[in-house]
Amino acid sequence: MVGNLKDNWREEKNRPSGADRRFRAVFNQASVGMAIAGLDGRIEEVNEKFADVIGFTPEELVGKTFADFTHPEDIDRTEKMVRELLEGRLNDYSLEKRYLQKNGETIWSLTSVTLLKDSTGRPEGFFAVVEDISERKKGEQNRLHLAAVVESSDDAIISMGLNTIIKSWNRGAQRMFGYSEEEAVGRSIQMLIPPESGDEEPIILARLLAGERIDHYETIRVAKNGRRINVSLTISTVRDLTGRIVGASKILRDITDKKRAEEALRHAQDELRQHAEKLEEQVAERTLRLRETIQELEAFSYSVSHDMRSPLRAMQGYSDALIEEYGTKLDETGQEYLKRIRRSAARMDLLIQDVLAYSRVAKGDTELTPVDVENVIRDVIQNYPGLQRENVTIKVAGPFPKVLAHEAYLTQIVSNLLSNAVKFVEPGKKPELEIRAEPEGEMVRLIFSDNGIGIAPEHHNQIFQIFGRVYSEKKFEGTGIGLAIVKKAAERMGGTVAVESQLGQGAKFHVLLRRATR
Amino acid sequence: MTTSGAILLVEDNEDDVFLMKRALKNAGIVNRLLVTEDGQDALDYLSGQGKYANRDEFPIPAIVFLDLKLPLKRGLDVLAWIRGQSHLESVVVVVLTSSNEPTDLKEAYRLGANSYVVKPPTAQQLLDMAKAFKWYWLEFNQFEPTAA
Repeated sequence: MVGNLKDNWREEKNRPSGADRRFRAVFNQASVGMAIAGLDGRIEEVNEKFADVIGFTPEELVGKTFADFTHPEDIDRTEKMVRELLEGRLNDYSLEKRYLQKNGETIWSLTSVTLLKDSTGRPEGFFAVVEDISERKKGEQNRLHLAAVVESSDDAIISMGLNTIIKSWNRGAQRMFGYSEEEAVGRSIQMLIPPESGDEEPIILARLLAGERIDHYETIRVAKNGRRINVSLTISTVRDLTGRIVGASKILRDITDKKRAEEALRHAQDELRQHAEKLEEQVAERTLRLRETIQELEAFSYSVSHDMRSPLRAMQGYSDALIEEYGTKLDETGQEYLKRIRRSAARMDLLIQDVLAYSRVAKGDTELTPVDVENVIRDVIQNYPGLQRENVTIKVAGPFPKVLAHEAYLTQIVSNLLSNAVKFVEPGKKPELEIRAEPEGEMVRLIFSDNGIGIAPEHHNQIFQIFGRVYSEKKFEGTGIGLAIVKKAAERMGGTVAVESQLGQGAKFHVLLRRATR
Repeated sequence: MTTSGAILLVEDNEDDVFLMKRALKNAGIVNRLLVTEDGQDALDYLSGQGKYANRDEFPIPAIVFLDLKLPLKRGLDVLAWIRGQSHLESVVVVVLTSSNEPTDLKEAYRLGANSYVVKPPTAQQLLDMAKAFKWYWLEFNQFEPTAA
């Protein structure tokens, strides 16, 4: 019937029969494009839809060949099929091919072509049906694109049915788990779950089906070779066209390295904590030992004060008794020897007392209270015989702000500085002392000035050290501990001490102490 | 002036005993002077135990000079014991020690010492102390009649 279409067509144009009228109606209103062309390929007739698809008006198309609007890349394929028709190897063909529209855009079509024959069976033309499949092609392309994305992903992307049977398996999954696509598809997803982690897959599925949203969680999966892999797992439902859940898709990321790094970090933190704890233990232990040592030292200094001073007292006492009761029986030399024994014992006693004073200041309690400096100074002047000699001038140049101090320490400082000031003076010179105070922010500077022999700058540090004497004992007696006590006492009260002096020009001792607020 | 009250010297160092006796004598103190050599000995004396049972020979003293560092019983323990005895309430206890440790000083007063003196190093200073002691404790201080 199709073979005679062209004849009928022509005849129908002149004398339309009922059947032909119906055919024409179909031709004009068909939802697919239709065209009739001669054997030379020139279009003789097209319907509206054809013109629509190709993007020209019907009038523009008549007389053109298909090659005129076929996409250049598809011309060869088309001509090959046409040859097949003309050589009688095919009666018709269908081809997915592209056309170039008038506006330059490309469309995809499914073009079906039938060879038209006359009543004797000789080919006389072509009948073409053209369907626009651009949309379908675009969808296919998207699918291919998505498939490529899935395929090339480093993550394992797996889909499965509700029965946990694997439906798709990308190359990422193959790399991660070692199963090929052929091995995996059709088997249950359970094969990836290590036996020790139980039956979690069905539970997750049930939660998904119940409408629960599961973003991602971290778990362990097992590879074909038994290796455990830490994965971050994202799971979502797969629905069919009607919206029914038919399965799930999962994306698994290998986080073994991350886990290992976390583990290493945790390990490092643990070690650090252990070290810190050990260190604290050591500190505690050593503090305890130190405390024991301090207690031993305290016991020692207690013992020194009692036991070592007692024979000295006996030496002094018996020397005195000897001089007093038997002195007349000794000549001058004998008396001088006795006096020397006595002086040595006295000096030894002084040394012991100073060492004890230093250790008391160094270890004693340091509770600070507001102290009236002027009272302390006046007490010291009154109680130290050397300061009351009539050739000594002491100017107490108030006012003195109250300082935060330990009264015994402050007394120690004042008495040591003042007794030094009257001691270290050129023979025959009258000692002149001045004490004054200068507020200095939160501190108070006490300045002790004298007209003594002074201290060379290179000795300024030395004099504050224990036994840091600068002059021989013969020239100026003393133990060499006094200024060390001053320094230690000032420091124990949160203060400092410094000296300002040149040799032969007197000295100024600066004691900086905290100012009392009340 | 009190001359009848006895003085008890609790001191283990015989040099100190000698020098103290000498100083008291040179200061003109004529009161009876008795010596115990350690803490336990002092307790025996004060409670009239053993060889000290005879109170005529070993009377309860008006004044005790107490060293702190003693064999057998510490001076501070002797002091605490004395202050716990009702018959010794009015006994004057003078701590006479080589220690000028603040802790000893504080503890001695806390336990009820009447005075605290650091042993003077020289014979002259010891004599000065003995004179001052005589002048104050024996000439001005009033004792309870029973004790004296």
